[in-house]
Amino acid sequence: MRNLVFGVLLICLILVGYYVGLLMRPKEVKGGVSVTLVVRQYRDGKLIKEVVEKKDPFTNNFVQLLWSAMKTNNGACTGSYTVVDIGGTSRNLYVCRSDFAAEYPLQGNGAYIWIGNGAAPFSLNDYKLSGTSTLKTTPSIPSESIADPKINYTISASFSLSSAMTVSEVGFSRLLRAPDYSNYEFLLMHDVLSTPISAAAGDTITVTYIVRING
Amino acid sequence: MKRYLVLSLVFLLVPFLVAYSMPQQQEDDRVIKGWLITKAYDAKGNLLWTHISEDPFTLNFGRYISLYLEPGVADHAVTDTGGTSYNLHTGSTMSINSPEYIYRTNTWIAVGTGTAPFSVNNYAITGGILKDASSPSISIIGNKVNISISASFSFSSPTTITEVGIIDRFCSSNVVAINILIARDTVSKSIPAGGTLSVTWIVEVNS
Repeated sequence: MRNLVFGVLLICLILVGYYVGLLMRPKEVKGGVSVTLVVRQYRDGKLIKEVVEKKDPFTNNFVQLLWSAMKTNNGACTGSYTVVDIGGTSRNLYVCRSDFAAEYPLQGNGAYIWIGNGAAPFSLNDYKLSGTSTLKTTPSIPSESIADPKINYTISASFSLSSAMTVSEVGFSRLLRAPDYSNYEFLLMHDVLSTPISAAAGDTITVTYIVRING
Repeated sequence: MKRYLVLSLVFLLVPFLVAYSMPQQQEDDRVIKGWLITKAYDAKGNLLWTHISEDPFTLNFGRYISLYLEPGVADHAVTDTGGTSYNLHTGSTMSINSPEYIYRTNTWIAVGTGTAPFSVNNYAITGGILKDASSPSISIIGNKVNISISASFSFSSPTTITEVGIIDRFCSSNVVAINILIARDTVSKSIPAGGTLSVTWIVEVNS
């Protein structure tokens, strides 16, 4: 009997040791960026549906911005790149402008979170939502949280629907300044929801983007 | 009794150590990955070693990228390679801290001798040797995009490098500029006299 109890005790110790070991494994630092998209549907103040999407893809417009962040001119102030605005027009933006005039892309002021009823699969060249019914609103200022080596940036927006809508896609756009001193809107992220949300008039849809750096 | 205690301890510690040393099987939901591929060659051009790592981004990179999430006027503080804080600006002509360090002229790949583990607050490469990176090349397959830059270093005497980083130069005029570290990784590798080191940084989008 004593051996049986001891045997059970040893098995418990093995399990406890293994479990604690798993919990205490050192965290590996993996560089990169992840995006979590959370879309919630509220009716009469109650949460009735939540869709969480990971691996939210970036459009070619964002790729071009990233390219400009990696661009070197060996000290010279030159270079531009092409992005497509939400109306489908190609625009050149400066990496650097030789006279240093104040029309750099980030001089543009404004950003939007979009929802729509389109279901076309994501394509790198998306420059607008595919739906026939779309809404946009200004998101919150990004909040930053740091737990070294991880950094999170969170933005969110809320939509009060005046009419019924199937929410099947979400996007994020940014206004950037072009060389003609005008701001144009560019879609940077676009996601088609794995589970569309059937929302009724009066429902509230909230969208939250969490951009996670290094995990 | 003592034998039972020792046996219990062994049965607790062995599975603990097995689990502790297992590689992490975390869900990989990254949409952007940064790869640093470092290769060393001897004086005759023979490949000596290759080191591949997943390069972590610094807080400077986060502050720069998150400027694109800003819906209005904002300044994001970054730390230059000298340790001084500056603001990158978005949303209006004049920054709170003018001048506006927003145009870009250089991207450098740097190698150095610092040994501190990576932290998002890293802002410099110790004893950094800087090389202008190549112009970024883009390759696209479907919705997946690779952007890569590279640089080559030559060493006349035996050298050990312990860190690699990417430094961006932001400027507001021809003479006013700041250099900020946006990615860093630790390595520990040697290059013989006459050898060369090639470093390639690949950023994979929608991976």
